[in-house]
Amino acid sequence: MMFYRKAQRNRKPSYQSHTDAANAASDNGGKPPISAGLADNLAYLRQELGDSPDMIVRTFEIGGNRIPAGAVYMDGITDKDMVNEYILKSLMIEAGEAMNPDEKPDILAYLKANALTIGEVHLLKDWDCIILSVLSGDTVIFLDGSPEAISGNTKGGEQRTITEPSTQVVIRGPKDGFTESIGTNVSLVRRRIKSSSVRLEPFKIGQTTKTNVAVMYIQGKAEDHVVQLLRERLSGIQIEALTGSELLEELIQDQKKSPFSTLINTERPDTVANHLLDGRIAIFVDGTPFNLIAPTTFLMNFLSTEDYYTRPEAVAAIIIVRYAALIISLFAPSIYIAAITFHQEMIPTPLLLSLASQRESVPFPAFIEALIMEFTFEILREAGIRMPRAIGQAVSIVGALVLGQAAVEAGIISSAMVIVVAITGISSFANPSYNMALSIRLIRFFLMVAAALFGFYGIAIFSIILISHMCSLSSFGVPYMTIKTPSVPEAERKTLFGIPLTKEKTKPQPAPDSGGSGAGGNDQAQPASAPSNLLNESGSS
Amino acid sequence: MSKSSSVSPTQLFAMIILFEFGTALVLPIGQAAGSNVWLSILLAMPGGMILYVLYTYFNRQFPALTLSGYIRKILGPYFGWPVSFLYIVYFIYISSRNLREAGDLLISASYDETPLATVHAVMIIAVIYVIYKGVNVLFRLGEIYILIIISLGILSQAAVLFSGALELRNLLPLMGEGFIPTLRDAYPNILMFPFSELICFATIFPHMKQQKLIRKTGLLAILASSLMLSLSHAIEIAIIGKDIYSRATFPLFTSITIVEVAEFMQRLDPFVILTLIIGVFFKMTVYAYAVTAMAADLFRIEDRRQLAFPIGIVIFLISVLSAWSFPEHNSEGRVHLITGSPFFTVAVPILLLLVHLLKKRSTHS
Repeated sequence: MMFYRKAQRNRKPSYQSHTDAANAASDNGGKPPISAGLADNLAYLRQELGDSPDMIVRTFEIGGNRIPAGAVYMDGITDKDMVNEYILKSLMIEAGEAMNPDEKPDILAYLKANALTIGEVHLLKDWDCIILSVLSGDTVIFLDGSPEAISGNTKGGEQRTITEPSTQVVIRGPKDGFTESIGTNVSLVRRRIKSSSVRLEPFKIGQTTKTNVAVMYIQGKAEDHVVQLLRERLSGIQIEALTGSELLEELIQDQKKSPFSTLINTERPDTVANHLLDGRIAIFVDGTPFNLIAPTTFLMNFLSTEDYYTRPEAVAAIIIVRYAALIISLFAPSIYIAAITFHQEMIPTPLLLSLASQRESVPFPAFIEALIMEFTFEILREAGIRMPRAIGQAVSIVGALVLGQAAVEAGIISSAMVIVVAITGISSFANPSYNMALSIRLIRFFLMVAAALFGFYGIAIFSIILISHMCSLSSFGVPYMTIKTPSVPEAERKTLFGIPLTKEKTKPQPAPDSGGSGAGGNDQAQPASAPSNLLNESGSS
Repeated sequence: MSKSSSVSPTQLFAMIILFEFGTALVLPIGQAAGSNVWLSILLAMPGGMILYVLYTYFNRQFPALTLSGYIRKILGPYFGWPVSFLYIVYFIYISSRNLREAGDLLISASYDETPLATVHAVMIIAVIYVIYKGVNVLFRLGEIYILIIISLGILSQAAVLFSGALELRNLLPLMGEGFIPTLRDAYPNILMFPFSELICFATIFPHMKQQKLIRKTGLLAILASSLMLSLSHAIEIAIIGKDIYSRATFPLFTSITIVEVAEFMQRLDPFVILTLIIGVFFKMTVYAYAVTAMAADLFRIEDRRQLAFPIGIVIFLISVLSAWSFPEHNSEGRVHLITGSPFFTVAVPILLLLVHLLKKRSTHS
């Protein structure tokens, strides 16, 4: 209260009536109703936003009656040209010329219908909507004498343009990638699927951040119960801030305690489009170019976007390489440890002799040796991500020569170990899914411990536990370890063990007419409270 | 039974094959037939199929009930409860025998300095984990591991073929001592191990998605597994001859050590060990699962998962303590093969069938 009074003292005395109302309302625990006085409203809004300097308030008068009006918008997240051209100009000049001075009844509705030459306009009746509107980049117009406000969609401002995705690069295929703007991202996918049965459902997640999240699917292709489950999970999220899709991924997973992620992410609109056409669901999160796909199976992690643009015969062969890379990146160090420590007899004699002579000077057991090298590799990898480009070459020389060759010559590790670690590291990059590669990096160390303790027996038992854990996972009710591609009907299945057999999108399904009698049940299920203007962007029109 | 769990026919097929392979792939089966073991296996197969049909018959009569459920229904609560309890004890014992066989092979193969209890403990951790995760996970796991087992089998048999260690003359004479010893080996020995052990699948049938396919799938799986078993044992004998075969503790292991391809694949023992670990794991887990299912039914325990740990520990202790040495374990096994096994897998089910038919007739008339 003290703070509030202090703020009040700086204002003109004419605000008295409004502040009284505000006090009365704040005693009730909510925000006051919108006052009829323009000055009160503008002052209240200023005070709510902490008198922020990037909030622009422009007062003016409309028409021959000289009705005082005020437009409020945030600098930087609005398109200034639009504010000037379609809000201020049309209200100050054009509305005045056209308006009949005798008419008075509902001036806001009149303005909304006749004056504002802007695509999306809403009538707002409470402060929460108004504040959210202003903070999302809309322009809100108050009129003296009316306890309502109009918002016009003027979202805009500086944004990153569409560029080629940096993490999922293809050789032959589209080069556009998602940006941080959810509106742009949705439009990139929309452009690829011009179907009336594409459904988009908005959500707001995070009490403070109020992050826009959108769920996109093709009605009739995506399974209804999966969509319903996703809706329930998204609307059930109680969280303060959502700043990226990683957190959302964690929040809507079926099983939270697992090193595996049961949703895949992509920054490619064509990947999203392909998944949507296969009956899966895309989840867009504002503020990140990485959007989520659900449901996901384990084998889907090994499909890359490139596969859609390559001949299926070649893809089948490449995917086998990826599986081999998976097995190598997971098992290579542990198999080496097991063979050296427990099962020397299975190594062919000449190789065993050579290994033995290499290891003669190495003071460590194979497990410690492997741990040293793997750990060094992990450090190099972490450093490689963060180090400035300019000194990259120097570090790679240090990494390759000093840590590799010199360590062998110094007798700290054997050269066979360097080969094992190198092939493990390279294999882990062959995995198209970064998430999966991370999980495998983690599990590899546990496997190494199992191998050091019990040799192949330990590896076998650990694998049984690992695979049974993966078998217990599910992604929106779809088993994670299923060989079948989820959501795709049996007859149209075009992958075997994740290997695509044909790229043809099989016979088109009869697209259910949108909003028709058949789809009535689904329309009801859409969240009714979500405002519809959240995803649109003035700049993209 | 819980609605959430459901097993598909493919999963049942895979699991029966893994279960049949279990230890039967690695251990010598049948005692007397010598070079004709592979024939005995094929001869025992029809008997195994008849037993399987008998087990599924009860499932058709009581689709929702597990083994202990319909035993009590048929024999009444006073006789049914102790008989069901005996089944629990029997299944625990078989499960621990399987564990012991794996443990002893592992120790004789490459873990001669590791204590038996440690080797067993590692395996039982995996069993407890999978039982805890539930029947769905177990069967999905089976679906994946059948691929691994079959590819291991194809690889090692290809290696055997190319190595030239195959001495087909070892398989002759075909029924040199007449038809009778071969037949006597099949009945009861091979019928009891591994075919009659399928009785513990009676606790899994209620989880099946398509009840109608249980019989067909199972019979196909028995056919496939006995063909593969027969082939594998024929190859073993062809490599090492019937003398060594009948003396070796683990004939598959002995025979595979002889194989050498192109001076490169010199030792395929890890394949055998892996096969045994996988086979034993699934076999003992199915048994352990049967125990938990029946114990949950008998003692009215809602959450079957609670039982995973205590039952795992019991199996572990019995596996370590039941015999001082592997020869003792084997002699126990021979006794068991002519006493416990026929009683539980043949005598009691036939008795149940008779009582059930009599009851049915009396209610009809």
